[in-house]
Amino acid sequence: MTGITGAQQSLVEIRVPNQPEFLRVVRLLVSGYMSRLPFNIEEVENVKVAVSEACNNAMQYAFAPDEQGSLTIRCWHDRDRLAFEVSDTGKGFDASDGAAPDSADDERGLGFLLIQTLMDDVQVSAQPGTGTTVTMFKSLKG
Amino acid sequence: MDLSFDISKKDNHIVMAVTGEIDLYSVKQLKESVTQVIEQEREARIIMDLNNVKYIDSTGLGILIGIKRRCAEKAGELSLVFDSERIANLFNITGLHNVFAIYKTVDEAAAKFQ
Repeated sequence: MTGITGAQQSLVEIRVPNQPEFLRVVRLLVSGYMSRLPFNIEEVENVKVAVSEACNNAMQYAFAPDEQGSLTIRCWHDRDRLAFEVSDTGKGFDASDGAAPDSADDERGLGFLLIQTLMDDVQVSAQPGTGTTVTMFKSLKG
Repeated sequence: MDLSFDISKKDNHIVMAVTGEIDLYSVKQLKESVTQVIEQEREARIIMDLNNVKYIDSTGLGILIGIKRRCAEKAGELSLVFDSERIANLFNITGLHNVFAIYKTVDEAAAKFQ
């Protein structure tokens, strides 16, 4: 859990196989978790898109074809903001060599553009061989 | 829930109404169905009605770009129909609202083909 302190009591964590059929399970987690908090439907839908896109990227690019792996989705909040974190057990990448998915030139870039636009803050951490973690934050309104 | 399609042939175009959620899991189904339709037509003029699509992600947007290209290759065109602000927002963020002909109703889109 990065960036939020005192949020341990609100932590929910699930692990899903790296198979696209489980994306809907992830979206159900997002809508279920956010239903407890003061967000409107549009905000919930936006976060669903962002979290689902992070999972898309992991499922499509973190693993070799037909490789079995898993994604861990954690969500938590404190008084100020909500966080969703998607971690994979895939090949990762060297975040220092500019390989982060920051280009809108392809589908991966399109997905990351949506994540960056729909969330208030996004952090990506990755290292070769240890997987990638994308942490996305949404401010909670006063 | 898988995607479902209601395909109807009009005088000079095809209306393809899609129902469901278009994501990484279901996008292959969309691609296969549209490819079948395009292959059967001499001129691929397609109106895709997305008013019953509750969710679309970047893989769905990517496939729509591919479908538009395929239609153009067959002397046709792809028009999209949706009235959802949620979906419109995704097109605006990605700049794709400038790429596609987008209408609120099938009738509006069909009028363009008359």
